[in-house]
Amino acid sequence: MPNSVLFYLIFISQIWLLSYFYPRKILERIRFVIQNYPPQQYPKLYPQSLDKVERVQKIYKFLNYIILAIGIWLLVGLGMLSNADNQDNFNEGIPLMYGMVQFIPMMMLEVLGYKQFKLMKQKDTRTNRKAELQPRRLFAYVSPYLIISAVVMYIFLIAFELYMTQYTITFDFMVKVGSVSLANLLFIGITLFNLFGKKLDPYQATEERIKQTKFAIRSMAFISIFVSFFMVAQTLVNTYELGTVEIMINSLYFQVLAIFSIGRIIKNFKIEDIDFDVYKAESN
Amino acid sequence: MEQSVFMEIMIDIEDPMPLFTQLVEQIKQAVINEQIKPNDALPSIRQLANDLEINSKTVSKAYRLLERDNVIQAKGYRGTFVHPDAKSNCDFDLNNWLATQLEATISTLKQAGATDSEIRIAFTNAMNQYKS
Repeated sequence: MPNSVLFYLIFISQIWLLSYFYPRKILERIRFVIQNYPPQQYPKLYPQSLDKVERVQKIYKFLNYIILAIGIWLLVGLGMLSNADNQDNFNEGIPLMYGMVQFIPMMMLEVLGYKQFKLMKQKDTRTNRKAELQPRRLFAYVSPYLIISAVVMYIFLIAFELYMTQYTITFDFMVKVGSVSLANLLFIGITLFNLFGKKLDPYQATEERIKQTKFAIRSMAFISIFVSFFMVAQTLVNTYELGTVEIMINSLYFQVLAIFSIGRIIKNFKIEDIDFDVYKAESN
Repeated sequence: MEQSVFMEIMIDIEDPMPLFTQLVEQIKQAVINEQIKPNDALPSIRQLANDLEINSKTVSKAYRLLERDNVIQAKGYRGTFVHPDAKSNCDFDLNNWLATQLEATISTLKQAGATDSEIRIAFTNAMNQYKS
């Protein structure tokens, strides 16, 4: 199969997955919560009016549609720009830049989610506070083998990059290793926050917190492994001048990120399994 | 790797009883009821303070008092654990013992003819000497 056709298929998959399929799933979850856990019976879940929630839903839907349209336009544009003589003449940065834009609606939801939790805390008038009398230890939430795999992959990346630069610290090496190191520091920070930080949702039940912590730490470990792997793949592609393969890897990168983050939330965090009783007016 | 059934404590921030006292009492009660057992690990000061959304100094004070009473043991970087003899040590109330000792001593001093102010001055001097 010619590389360009394969790239089109992968890019179509990126557009569909990140700007149609996953946003649709997230909107279904939001609608399910609004229909089954309305503000009249679950007032603590809605620190602001239902109108505000519905407005955010509409903005999220609208943004994804715009980005979907941009994706289709890019696809058509790329097809028109490529010519018979040089079918591999694609801008390598397009899937990367477009992928970053595709994550914007999700980031907007995350930021609004934090604001929602802050408002919930402000409205929480309970004077009783609970805490577990067990320490939260890392390996109670994640397999040691997964953490070791992430560490090994990171060390492998550094060793591999050094080997490819013939043990010389080049600028490119520093950028690659530096950016992966920063990413891993971020993942460690998120892990520590989930283990020892304050609860974002003041009403969250302990069982839900345990599930969420397990999920967050495992996701961080998988993404860390994948980021290291992606950098190794990038280096190989650059070394052997596989330009069209690089553009496909860039597109797949965002899809795998989405599968490990949004995809895992949808698969493992079923709305029906969450304890919503804590948001009832009479709950303590 | 799975978390088993968890023991929770609860504090009331509007209770007249100081928060650190609530923590001390609840942890002692958990030991007496065998909800936590000797050598069980306890959460770190930071974890407990964040979970209860109280100052870490409050938790630190509670842990210090529990350690003084040999209900818990701090083992450095390994964390804090329930003392092997915690259950028997929980029965000993230091404040109660202190009050009993002082009452007996004051009774003896008054029988000897000492006035209230003489007793107070002597007590203050003794405390200052101990400090230095």
